[in-house]
Amino acid sequence: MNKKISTPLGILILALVFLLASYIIFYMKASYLGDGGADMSFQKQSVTPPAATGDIDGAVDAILQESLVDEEAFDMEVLDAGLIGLDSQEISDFDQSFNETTF
Amino acid sequence: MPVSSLAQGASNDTQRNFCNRFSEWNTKIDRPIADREAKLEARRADRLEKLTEKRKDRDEKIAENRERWSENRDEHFAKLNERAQNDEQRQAVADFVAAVKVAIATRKAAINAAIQAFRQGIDKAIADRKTAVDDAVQSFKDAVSAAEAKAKADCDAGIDSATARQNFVNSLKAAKEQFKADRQEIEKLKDAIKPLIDTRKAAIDKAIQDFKTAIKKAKADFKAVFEPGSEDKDENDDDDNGSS
Repeated sequence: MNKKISTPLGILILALVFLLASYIIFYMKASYLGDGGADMSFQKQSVTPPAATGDIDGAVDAILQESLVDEEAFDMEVLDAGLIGLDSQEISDFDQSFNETTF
Repeated sequence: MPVSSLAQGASNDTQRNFCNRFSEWNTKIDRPIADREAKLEARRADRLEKLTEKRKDRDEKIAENRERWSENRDEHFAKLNERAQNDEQRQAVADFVAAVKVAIATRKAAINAAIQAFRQGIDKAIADRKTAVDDAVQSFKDAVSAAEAKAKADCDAGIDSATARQNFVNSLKAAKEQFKADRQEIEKLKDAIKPLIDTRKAAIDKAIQDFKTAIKKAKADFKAVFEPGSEDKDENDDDDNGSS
């Protein structure tokens, strides 16, 4: 009796875990490619500039932190490389345009 | 019946009637290919739209961030200026401000150039891919058209229907295999972007390193006036921390 219940239950749990993992992966990919969710760009860039105190070390630290904005801007650009192959599926689908064995 | 025909799963009737079923080709071959071309075009338009939108979004956010940091920088400059007690110190602040502005302008120009060059690289990669795909699709369509023409010619010439069909099937299969090989080569074109990423990343790293060096010097010059003797200590601290 226990085995009759535990086996399907185990399969069901595995299926749910698989579905959840697939969904997370899909969502993360889609969120960048723009198929859903918010653009993750520039999340790091919301760093608040440090308040001015008149201390030269603080001023220089703030000025140096500012360069992160530019550094991260380029990191976001690099993600666009993923868009080059966005049409891969559509190209691949040409292989299935017809089934020659049906003629 | 030849073994090869059996392998294709075609019945004797199918083979015998092959020369009477040219009209099926439009719905079974030509139209599906045209549908896929339309889907490919739609996806390309989608890609262009996404790319344009993301770039615009980033440009706006870079501008916003730079503005925010610029305002903050001005506040730091103003506070430093408040500390100046004499002309020498006021000049030191002015020199510091000027040096920082030059360093920032240089850094921004380098970053902007790197981003611009990278975008051009992405655009070129997409254009090269489009050309390669269009060529492969055209070759595929040409091969299919040639197979159709040959089958009609074979049938018109009175060649056995099963033989005409087998030639047709083999030609279509070869067209697919050629397209598949072309497609695999096309996917390799994406790798061309990797050296561009490395080159531009190196340019950005250098621009930021140059920027840090310039700011460090400006700070030392400032401290030489405001806190004589402390600039040497700072330099050693920076070296110890590896933060330069």
